[in-house]
Amino acid sequence: MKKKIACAIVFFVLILILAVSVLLAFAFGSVRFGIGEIFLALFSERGDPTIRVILIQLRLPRIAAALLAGSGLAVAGLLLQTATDNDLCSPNVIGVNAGAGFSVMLCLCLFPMAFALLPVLAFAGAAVTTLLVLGISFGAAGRGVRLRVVLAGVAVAALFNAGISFLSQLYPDAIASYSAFSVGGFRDVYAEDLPVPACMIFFGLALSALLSPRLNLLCLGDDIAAGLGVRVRPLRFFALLLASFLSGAVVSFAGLLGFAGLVVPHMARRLVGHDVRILLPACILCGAALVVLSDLAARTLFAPAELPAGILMAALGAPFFLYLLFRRRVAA
Amino acid sequence: MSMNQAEEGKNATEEILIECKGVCLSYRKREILRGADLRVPAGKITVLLGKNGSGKTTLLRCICGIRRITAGEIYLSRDPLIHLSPRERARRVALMPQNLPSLHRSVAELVEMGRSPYLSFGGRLGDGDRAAIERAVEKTDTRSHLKDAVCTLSGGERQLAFFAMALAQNTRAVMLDEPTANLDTEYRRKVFQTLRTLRQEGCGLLVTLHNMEEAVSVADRIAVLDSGKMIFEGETEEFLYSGISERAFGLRPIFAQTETGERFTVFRSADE
Repeated sequence: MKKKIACAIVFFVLILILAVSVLLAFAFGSVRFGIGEIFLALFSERGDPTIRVILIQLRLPRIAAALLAGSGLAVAGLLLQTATDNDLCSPNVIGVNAGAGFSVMLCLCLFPMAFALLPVLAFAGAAVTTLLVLGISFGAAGRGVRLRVVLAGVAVAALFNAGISFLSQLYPDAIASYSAFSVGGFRDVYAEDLPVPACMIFFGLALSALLSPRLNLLCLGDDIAAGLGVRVRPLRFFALLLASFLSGAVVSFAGLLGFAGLVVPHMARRLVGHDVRILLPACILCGAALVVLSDLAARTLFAPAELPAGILMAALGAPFFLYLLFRRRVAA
Repeated sequence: MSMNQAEEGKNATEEILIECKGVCLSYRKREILRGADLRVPAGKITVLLGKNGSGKTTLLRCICGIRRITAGEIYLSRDPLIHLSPRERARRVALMPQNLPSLHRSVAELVEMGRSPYLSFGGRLGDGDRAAIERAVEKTDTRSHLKDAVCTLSGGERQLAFFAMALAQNTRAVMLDEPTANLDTEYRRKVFQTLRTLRQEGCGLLVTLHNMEEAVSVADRIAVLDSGKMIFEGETEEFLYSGISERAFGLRPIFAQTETGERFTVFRSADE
């Protein structure tokens, strides 16, 4: 009972943080607005039309993109970590993002106008990479599968990243900025880019929620989970596919934004424990808030210059991750 | 003829929960099981003996549907295993494996997972589920650890926690793989106590053990697996007088009696 109350408080605080982050993201930018102005412009006839245009046409797509990317990547990371039972997995560690990015680059080079195709191809790239990495690591049976997933992922990621750089050298005009794409960010996100990935992400999140009671059992190891009536292999395969689906959707508009996928599930575990059914919503909230805040910082800290959000996320996320690592060692 | 009738009479009274007929399994061109037969009747403790690598664990995993057998048949309460869905199977037989993971979950959460074969898609626990969990916790004496994380428990406590999870599955057939390995005498006693309680309730238990003295003291029936073949299956008495322990393990049974008249069996190396 105590645990339930603690959990409820954590969720309440997370929702509050997310709401405040979104509000701040609306308020700050090259022009600063008060909270009153924002509400007036958004919800009332009497608001200033210029403010409304700035808020709805410039800031809203960016915030929406950050929310989608944050929740999508965090859940993709959670799915990967749960399905492989490996805390080191995340879309960018095991090369899923790189695979999706390569696929996006290829699409941009070959069919520069086919924007609607991007998320689908990104998903295809992500899925192929996931299967490749897991094929390599599980195909060679024996011990140390967990380590091999990471090693295979690093190798595959290096390969696809090289491919991305190669394509960007070959077709320098394919994307506005290769460096921004490779770090990940929301500067070049437009409202038109979002509907398809948004649908994919909503769909992916809903399916993950449906799977979560079963995913919980995977932590017991394959044998015990199978003994409890779980079809382990199909479940794992589906979870990995879902993770690729989510990260593919994110990569298609946000570039190779990665760190959220690794850090957020760890953060959420600290807050609410290891039950996937509770972790999932916690990851969505944490991920969304983290990415919205990173993007806000990225565009305001060095204004008028703007950093890609990925840089800030790595700058915030890496020390935090190290902190978690060291705390766990102390605890152990 | 009379033999056959006796067999049939036995079948009529004895309910067989698990039956293996000629189970074969090869892995990477190595034959692990080569036509193993086994019957686990209700209300009895069947102990499966065998050297390391004789295929005991593999056989248990096959019965649980974790490994797919290459030939032969397995029946759970007369229904072929291959016709049962994984969930239906998990409602008929539970397995406590030998190697138990260390988890960042509480014992309560762990035991709750034992109910998953009964839960609907949403995974909410009903009253029946809670009652089953309660019974499992009671039988394994794990109530004092319910809130502890599994990774903080000692080896014996962890074993009991996973035992509770297997019992929460509420199956009539329960299999335990080396339940007493690495346990001190107190936990061994607890485990055997629980096994006897389950037997009384009509469960069929299949237990692998290494220690022969423990095996003959707890078992109603004994089966001996040797390089993938069942070389003996029968009552414990029969096992003791058959000389199979000497042939299979090089151990000779010695029947002894305490001063108070309790009979027990010890095993000595046959060379001595």
